[in-house]
Amino acid sequence: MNFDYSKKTDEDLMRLSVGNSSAFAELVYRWQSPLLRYVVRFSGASHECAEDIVQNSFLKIYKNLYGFDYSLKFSSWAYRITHNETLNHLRKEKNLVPLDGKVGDEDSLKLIEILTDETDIEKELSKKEEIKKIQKVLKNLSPDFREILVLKYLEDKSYDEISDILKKPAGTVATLIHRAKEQLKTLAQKNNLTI
Amino acid sequence: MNKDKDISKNILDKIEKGEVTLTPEWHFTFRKVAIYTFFSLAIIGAVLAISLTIWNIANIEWDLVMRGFEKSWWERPFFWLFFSLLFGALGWYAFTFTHKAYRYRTIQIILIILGATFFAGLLLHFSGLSSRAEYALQENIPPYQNFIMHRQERWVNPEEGRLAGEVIDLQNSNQFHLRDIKNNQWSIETHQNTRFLVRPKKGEKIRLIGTPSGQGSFRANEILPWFPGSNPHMGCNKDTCRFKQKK
Repeated sequence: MNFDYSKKTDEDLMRLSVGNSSAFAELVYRWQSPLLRYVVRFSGASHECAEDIVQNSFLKIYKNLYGFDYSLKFSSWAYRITHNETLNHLRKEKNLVPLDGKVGDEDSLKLIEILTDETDIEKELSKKEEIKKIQKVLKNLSPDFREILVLKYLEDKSYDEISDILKKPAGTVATLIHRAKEQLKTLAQKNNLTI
Repeated sequence: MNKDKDISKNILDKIEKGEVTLTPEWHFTFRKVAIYTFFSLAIIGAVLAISLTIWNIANIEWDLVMRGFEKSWWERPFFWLFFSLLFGALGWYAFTFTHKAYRYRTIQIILIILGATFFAGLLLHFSGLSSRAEYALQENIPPYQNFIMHRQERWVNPEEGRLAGEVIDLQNSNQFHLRDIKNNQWSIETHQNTRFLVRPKKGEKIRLIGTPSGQGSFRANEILPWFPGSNPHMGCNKDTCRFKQKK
C-alpha cells in the first residue's frame, strides 16, 4: 500500500522516516537536487564528487534521525550536514575548495546582478570574456565568503537559516555577507568589472 | 535526473540492506542530559564560589589591614574568585555543546554567565547561605581548615592585645570564659567602656581586643564577631548597641 507523502511537510516526513524508508525516500527525492546544486556551487566539486557527498549526507541524516531538533527547519539541518560533509570530503582529498571555474555562467551572472543596482548589467556582461572575468572573481573569493554569498543569493536562504546551517550567530552572518560583498566588489574592480 | 534517481536508489538500498542503522534515541538523550547536567553543576559551583568571594571580601578585617597585621587579606577572595572563574569557564564550555549555543556570540554567553552567576551569588550571600557554606567548609574540609588556620593563630596573641575563641561559659554579661584554638581557657572581663559589636553566647566564636590582666585572664575593650561581615551592628558601643550590657 503506497501512501501519498507529497503533501507532508519535511518535518512530518522526518517523524515518519523512523522505520519507514518510503517516507525517507520522499525526503531524498525532494532535497537531492537542491543539495547537489549547493555542493557544486559552494565547493566547485565535480558532479560525481557532489553526488558522493550528497549521498553520504543523506546517510548521515538517516543515521541521526533521532537527533533532529524539531525547532529547526529540515532543510537547514540537511544543508548543515551537507556543508560539513563537503568540508570533510575536501579535507580528505587535500583539495580545499579549488573551484575550477565550476560556478555556472548563469549563477555567476545572477550573483553579480544581485550584488549590483544596475539593471542593464546583463547586457554588459553578455560577452563571454566578461563571464570568464566574473568566474575568476568568484574563484578568487575566499571560500567562506563564497559560500555565504551562494547561500544568501543563489540558494535564497534567510539570515536565520544561514545561521542554522553554518552554526554562526545571525549578527555574524550579516557581517560576513557585508564583508563578502565588499571583497567581491574589490576583486571585480581589479578585474575591470564595474559593480 | 537519472543520476539523481540513482542517488536515492543507492541510499534506500543501503538502508534496506541494513548497511546504515539508526543511532538509538537514548544516545542523543544521554548526550543532552550529560551536557545540561555538567552545565548546571558548573553554574551552581560558580554561583557558590562567587557568593564565597563576596563573603570573603565583606569579611576582610580592614582595621588589621590598615595596621599592617594582615598582609594576606586578598588570598581567600582571590582563591574563590579563581574558582568562580574556573566554574564559569566550565559552564561556558558545556554550553557550547548545547543545540542552540551557536545562536549567541561568545561574548554574549560570557556576559550572561558572568552577570547571572554574580547576581545569584549576591542573592546567596544576602540570604546567609554563603556564610553557612563557609562555616561548613571550615568544619568539614581539612585542607580548607589549614588554609584559614593562620588567621586564627593571628588572633591568639594576647600580648599584642588580640584573643579569639569559643565562649564556653557565660557567667553574666560582664564575665565569661573562652577557650582559644590552642585549647587554653581564659577568663574574660569587660568594663563600662567595652564596645560590644556582638553579644557573647555560649558555644559561639568571637574575637576580643584588649589587654591581658593576669594569668589566664583578659580584659576586653572590644568584643567582635568571629567574622566582621557577620556583624550587623558594626560601630555601636554599649550605649547604642542593642546588645547592651546588663548592669
